[in-house]
Amino acid sequence: MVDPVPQALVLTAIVIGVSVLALGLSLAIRLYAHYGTLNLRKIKELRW
Amino acid sequence: MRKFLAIVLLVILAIGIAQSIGKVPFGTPKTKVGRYYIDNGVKETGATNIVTSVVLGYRGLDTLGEVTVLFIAALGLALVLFGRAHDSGEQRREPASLVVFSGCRFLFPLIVLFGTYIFLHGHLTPGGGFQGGAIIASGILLVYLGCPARRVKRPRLTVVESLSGLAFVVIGLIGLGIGGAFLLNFLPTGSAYRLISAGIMPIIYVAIGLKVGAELGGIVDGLAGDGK
Repeated sequence: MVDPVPQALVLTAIVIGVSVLALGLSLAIRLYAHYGTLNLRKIKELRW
Repeated sequence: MRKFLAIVLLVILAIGIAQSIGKVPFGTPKTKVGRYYIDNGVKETGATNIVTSVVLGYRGLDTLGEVTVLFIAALGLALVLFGRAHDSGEQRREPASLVVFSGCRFLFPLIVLFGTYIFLHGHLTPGGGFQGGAIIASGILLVYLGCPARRVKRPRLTVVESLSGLAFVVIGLIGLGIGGAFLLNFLPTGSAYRLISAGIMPIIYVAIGLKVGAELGGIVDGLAGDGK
C-alpha cells in the first residue's frame, strides 16, 4: 500500500501553487498595462 | 557575472542534496505514520478514501489553511485587477467557432454535474473538494470562451464562495462546542462505502467543492475582464 500522507500534502501544495500563480498573473497583467512591455530590462530603464 | 554565480549556487545545492537525500534508500517506508493511517483509517474515520481521511480527518487544520490561502489569493487578484483600464476598443474578440458555441451551453450543466459527483463522493472514491471545484471552474471557463453573453454572474459566485467558506469554519466550531476539539468528527461514522458515512467529511467536502469552484470561477472572471 502507498503512503497517503505525501498525496495529501501534494494536494495542498498544488492548490497553493495555483493561488500564487493566479496572483502573479494578475500582477503581470497590471505590469503590462502600465509599462507596455514585460521585458524587465526595459522596465528598469523607464524608471518612474 | 550573475549567471556564473547562479551556476555556482546551483552546483553547491546539487551536491548538498545528493549527499543528504542520496543516503536515504529509495522506496522504503520512511515513517510509521503512513502505515498507521492505512491500517486504522477506515475504522476511525469511516472514509474509504484514505487520502480524504488524512486531508479532512487527521490533518483537517491544514485544509483550513489551504482554503484560507486560496481565498487570500482570489482576494488579492480581485484587488490588483480592480482599477484596470478596460481595453474594450483595442482588442477585438474573435467569436467562438460553431462547435464551441453550440456545445458550451449543452456541456456546462454536464460539467457541473460531473464536478459535483467528484466532490460529493470524495470520501469514497479518488477525488474530493478541490478536484471537483476545479472541474466546475473549467465549466465556467468553457462558458466564457464559448458564449460570453451568458456567463455566470460575478455576485452569485461571490455569495456561494462566502457562504461555503463560512460553513466550513462553522462546522469546525460546532465540533469545538460539542467535543472540545476544532473540526471534531461529531456525526456518526456510519458503515464504510455508503454515501452517508464518515461523519462530517462529505459535508465539509461539499462546502470546499462549492467554495473552490466559485473561487476559481471568480478568478477566471476577474482575469477575463469585460470581454464584450
